[in-house]
Formats: sequence, structure tokens, C-alpha cells
Amino acid sequence: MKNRKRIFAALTALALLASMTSCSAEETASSSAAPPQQSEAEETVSQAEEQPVEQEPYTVAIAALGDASTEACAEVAEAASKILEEKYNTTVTLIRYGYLEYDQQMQLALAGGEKLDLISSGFFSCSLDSAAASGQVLALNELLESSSELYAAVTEEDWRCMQRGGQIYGVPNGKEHASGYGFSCVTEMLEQLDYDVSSIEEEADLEGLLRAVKETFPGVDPIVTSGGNMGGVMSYRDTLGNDYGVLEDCRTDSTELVNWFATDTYRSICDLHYRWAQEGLIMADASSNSETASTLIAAGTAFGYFHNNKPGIEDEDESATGKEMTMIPIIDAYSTTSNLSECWMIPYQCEQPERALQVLSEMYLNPELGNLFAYGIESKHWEFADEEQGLIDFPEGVSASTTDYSVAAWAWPNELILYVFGADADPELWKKTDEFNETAFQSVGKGFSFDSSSVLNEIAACNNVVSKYDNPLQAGALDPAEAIPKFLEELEAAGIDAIISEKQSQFDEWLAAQNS
Amino acid sequence: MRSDKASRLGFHLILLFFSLCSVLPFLLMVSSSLTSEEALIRDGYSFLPRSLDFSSYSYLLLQSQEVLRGYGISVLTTVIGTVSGLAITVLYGYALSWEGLPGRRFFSFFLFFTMLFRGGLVPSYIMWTQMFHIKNTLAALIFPNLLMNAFYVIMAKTYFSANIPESVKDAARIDGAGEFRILLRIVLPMSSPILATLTLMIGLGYWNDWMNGLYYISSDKLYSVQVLLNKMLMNIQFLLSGVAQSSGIELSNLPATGIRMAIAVLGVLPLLVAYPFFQRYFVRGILIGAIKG
Repeated sequence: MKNRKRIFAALTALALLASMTSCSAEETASSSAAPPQQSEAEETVSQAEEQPVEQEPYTVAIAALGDASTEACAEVAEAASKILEEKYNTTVTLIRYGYLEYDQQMQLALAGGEKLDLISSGFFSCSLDSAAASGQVLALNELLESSSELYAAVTEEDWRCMQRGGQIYGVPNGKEHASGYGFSCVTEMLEQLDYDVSSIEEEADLEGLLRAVKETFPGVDPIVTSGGNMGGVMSYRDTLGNDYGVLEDCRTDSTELVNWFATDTYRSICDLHYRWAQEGLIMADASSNSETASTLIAAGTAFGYFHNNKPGIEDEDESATGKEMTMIPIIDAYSTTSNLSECWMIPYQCEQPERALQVLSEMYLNPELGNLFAYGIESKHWEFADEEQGLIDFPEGVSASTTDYSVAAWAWPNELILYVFGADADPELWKKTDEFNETAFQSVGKGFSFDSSSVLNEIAACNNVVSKYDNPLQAGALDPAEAIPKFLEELEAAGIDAIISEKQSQFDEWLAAQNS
Repeated sequence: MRSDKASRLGFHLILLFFSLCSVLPFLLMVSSSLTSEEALIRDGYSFLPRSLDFSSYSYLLLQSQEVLRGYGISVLTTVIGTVSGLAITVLYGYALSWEGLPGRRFFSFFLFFTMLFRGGLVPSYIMWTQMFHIKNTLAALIFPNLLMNAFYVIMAKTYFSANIPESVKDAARIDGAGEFRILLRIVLPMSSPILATLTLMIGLGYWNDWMNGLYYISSDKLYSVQVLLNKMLMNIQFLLSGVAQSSGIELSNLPATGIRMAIAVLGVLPLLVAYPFFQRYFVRGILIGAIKG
């Protein structure tokens, strides 16, 4: 009896052990399976080039950002399949997730090997950086050769921003690829003040306006934050991926990376905000505010907030706040690698990457398909407000809060070929965006991406320090004269110098390669 | 005598402090769900609503199908999950409480092992979606994580072996009852404290769960109340994050603060109603389990 029990126990242990090891074996198998697929892809590419019409039927599973109901996604996918079936014998399926859950869902789907052929980048674990570093997405260099139209549609500089370790991993979304910054404020109040804003060129010039707001409208905060965040740093810095080791002013030719928090620019911004906060020009408890700036403006307790500036921004602000808004530009548009973070990628489990790229190329170049994906079904999710001008809006009885296919044109491959959403929007919006991209200043560091794998510990330690000081300093809650020296001391202890020197050596190498 | 009184006063103050800690936020939630959105942002939160306003509730109950459907899903999964979870727990616990069970040590170990080691999220996800295909089905809200908890089985087992004398069961056997009849007619009626405790704990687990919804459900037809609430909170959290601000993303379809609070109130309401009925057993069930265990 006792013997039997022992055998039993041994067997159980064995079984458990076996199941554990088989699990890990499977994992390694699936991760090592990624590279060979690339060579397979090459073969099929050449086949596809020879006979583009007689392709086998194939279904491309697409995952995109933004909330949408399952039915709406199915309807859109069906309509899109009709267009694609004729041309490529390809059908599609579509699934959309909200912004914060997207990355988690993708992480599970990618790890679980679910069928996925085309995915939008997310913001966290599914960003281009992490997806490329973890080998979850395929390098597209060879594939793109077969898709010359798509390749030509994106500029050489923008392709460079999609490279990680010399390989292109994503197709950048066609949207604004640069960012200016400014102060967005309520037009009605501005008109009542009758203040001449044309003289405002620098952030410090806002002071007169802010004081006037404070005097004329008691109970209104001249500047508010969004969730404790000032909403944008009024400077021409190029962060090159993270706050540690930045180009202080990317308009100069300097390629020396510096500690951003030790720069004069940072100090003067903090000094200014500290003074403003003391005077009551920035809301009380700015760094611990848990509302968004647009909610506060909608409620009538705020005058304005800092954020990015691009064509059409006033309309966007208006739809977020429900009030007419005026943007006072402070920083001119400039373009860095981080302006091209949104892109579309092909996950490693895609069986026929060339077919996925075909669909992506069609989404990028064909307005009919693009509109369908971005806005949904005509007369159900949108209708023409002005067909000649290409303006569309929600149909009667549908609004942003009731639609089951949310609008996020920027999250799709190319919004620049689509209709413009909003009956009152500027019909020239995409043309202006194109110009904006062309005229924006290109940073010296554009295209560089930092491989942080050797300094991950230092970065984590520095992140902790930054989260302690940066927001309160920028929101004017801490006295820079006291806080910044302490801040810098802690950063040094956390190893910021190691990060900067590593980044500098990578950057110099990259610059040399660019010039050769 | 005096020191006795003083220490009692001290304990009461401590307890008062802790109960305030849990009651006050709740009060704030209820009060803000009854305040109009505008007043909420203008005057901030307050413990008593300055003026009553039911617009959040009328919006949720009359205009939004999502919340009502979510309620239905929550109730359905909680009922099915609790009944089947309770059945499994009691059967396993009762079997283990019998000394003569063949392979008793193995089954105890088998149970205990799951308390120490878990497969982790990704392997579980792969198992559930690729072997059992439960993604986007009601089963996804019932089976993973919640159906059986080893700790509850041990609680049940301890209760049975400590409170049901072997002689009672022997008497029933002599009268010709089979094992199932003994369990149903003799043992269960004697075990109402543990049954009530387990029902409440398993039910609570199901009602409050949003993880399964997050991982295994992508169809909005199957969102429970908690999943809905969690999604809204995630959207807001995202909007407030630096990431959204640096990419200039605005969401225009966020539910207002008052509505968020109203959903949270609706989410706890059933528990609030059910708890007093279980409370009496709750204390006894856990206490007996712990002392005599």
C-alpha cells in the first residue's frame, strides 16, 4: 500500500515536471520560429510579383486602435473584402480595441499566436520600439521592394524613422509628421479682453495676457494642466527617444547630447512657471490635478492650456471642449523621430506577409478603402456634409458618444487621402498638413533611434527620479532654486551619465553612417 | 475598571477611524453620482450633494442599453458561476474530509499544488483560447480563475471534518443512506455557515471580476458591468497619461464624471443588498474554520 502511494507521488511529480518543461519548450520553439519565416516570405514575394491576379484566396486579419462594436467592425470588414476580393482575391477581418487595452490585447494575441496579419502600433508594449526589439513583427525591407508605390509614398527621412537596427519594421501613418507647440485658449474670453496676441512670440510674452485674464475673470484659472501634466515643453529640444541625453535646441548644428534637466532652457521654463504659480496664473495644485484640461475648460473654470500645434488643431480643441478655441503659436513646427511613432506593422505569425502588405498598401493609397476603414459605412456611421469639398460628419441622431465605430483617422494608415471629418472643418486640412510636413524644420537627429538595452537599469532608476520632480517643477509647484540641484544630484546617482554617454556614442556612430 | 473603559474607548476610536476610511469614499461616490456634472466641476466633490440631480441615473437606465445588458451579463455569470463553483468546492471538500478516501494524499497535494504554482497569464490564455476555444463566449467569464479556488476547498474540508461527527454519518449509513444522500440530507443542512460564506465569497469574486472580461472578451455584447466600468476608467487613465498628451489625442466620447460614479454605485448595489443576509453566517463560517482548522 505504502509503496503504491510512493509510486503515485513520483508519477505525479513526473507528470507535472513534464508539463512544465513542455510548456517552456513550446515557448522557445515559437520564438525561434520567427526568423525563418522571413526567408519563406522572400520566396512568396517573387511568386506574387509574377502573377498578381491569380492569387490563392487569403484572409488578412487586421487589428486597429479605437473603440468599435463587433458588428460595426464586421460590416466594415465585409465591405472592405468586397473591394479587395476583386483586386487581390483577399478578404479581411477587423477588430478594434480602446487605446489603453490595445497593447495588452495585442500582447496576448501575439504571444498566443492568434491569427493576425496587420496591426497598428500601440503606445506601450506594442509600440514600434518594443515590438521590433522583441521580434514580434517582421522586418519589411525585402517586402517593400515588391510594393514600389507604397515605398515611394513615404519620404526617405520618414522611412529612416521606422528603422531599428538597420531594418524597417513599420509603415508610418500618413499624418502630420512634425509638431509645433502653443497655448490654446477660449476665444470668447480672448475677444472680451481685446488683447493683441500677435506680439506674443515666446512663452514669457504670455504673461500680460494671463494677468489680464486673472483680473477680468475672477474664478478662472489662466493656465490649467491635464492630469498634472503641463501638456508640452515650449522648446526646440529633440529628446531622441527619452529625456536622457537630448539635443537642447535641434535648430542648431550641435550634435552634443546634454542632460535636459541641467540645461538653461529647462531652468528658465521652471523659473517662469514657478513665478506664475506664485502669482496664481497657473491653477492651484496643478501637478496633482486629475481632470483633463478640456473638461475644465468645458466647465468654464479655465482659460487655456499648452499643447501641440498643427493644422486643424483649433477644430480638434473645439470638439474636445465644446467651445471655440484660439491657438497662440509659440514653437514652430519641427520634426523628430518621435513624431513618427504611429505606424502599421506585420506580426511574425502572419502566414503570407506579402498579402498583408498588399492590403496595407491599398489602405494607404486607395481613398475608397481608406475612408471605409477610418470612418465606417456611409449613411450609417457618416454622411456627407459637403460632398464637393469632401467634408463628412455623423448622420442625424449619431454623435461621438453614441457611434459604434469611433472616429480616429490618425490611427489608420493614411488620413491624408481621406475625407475631412466635421461639417465645419477646414476642407483644405490635408493639403495644409502636407505643407506643414514639408515646411517643418527637420531635426539633425531625425531618424536616429536609441537602443537602450545596455542601460535599462539606469533608465528605470532615472524614470523614478524624473516622475518625482519633473511634473511638479514644470507645473511651478517646486522652487527650482532648491529642487533642481537636488533633482540633478539624484539623477546622477541613478546613473544618467552612463545613459548619456551610451546614447552619445550610438548617436555619433549613426551620424557618421548618415554622412558616409 | 477605569482602564478597561479607557481601552475600550481607544479601540472604538481605532475602529471608528477605519470604518470612516471605508465609508467616506463610498459616500463621496454616491453623492457625486447625484450631483450634476456642471456643479461637480465648478464646486468640486462634496460629501453631501448640494442639489439633487438624477440625470446620470436616468441616462444610464433609460438611454444606455450597454449598462442594462452589462447588468444582465453580470447577474447571469454570477448565478451560474456561484452555483457550479459551490457545487465543485463542496464535493471536493467533502470527499477530502473523509479519512478513508483512496488517494487522499494525492488529491490533497493536487489541490495544494495549485495554491503555490500558477501557469501565468500567457500560458493560461493560450490554453483557454486554443484548447478550449472560450474566447468571446459566456464560458470565458465563468471558467478561468474563478470557478474553483483551492483555498475555499480547504475551508470547506476543514469545516466538514471539524463539525460533522463521523457518528452522525455512521448512523445514516446504518439507516441505509448512500453517500450522496448523506451529503445532501445530513451534511449540507448542518453546514449552513460555510455554505453561506462560500456563496458570498465565490459570488463576490464573480460579481467584481473584470480580468476575464479584459482578457477573453472582445465582443461588446458580453461586457459585464465591471468590464464596462473598467474600460471607461482605462480610457480616462490613458487620456491623462503623458503618452496621449504628447501625441495630442483627444477622446470626445468619454462619459462624464457623474455617470462614471453612477455606474460604480449600480455595480455595488446588489452586494450592498445581499450582504446583510449573509453577514451572520459569514463571521461564523470563517471563524470556525480558522480556530478548529
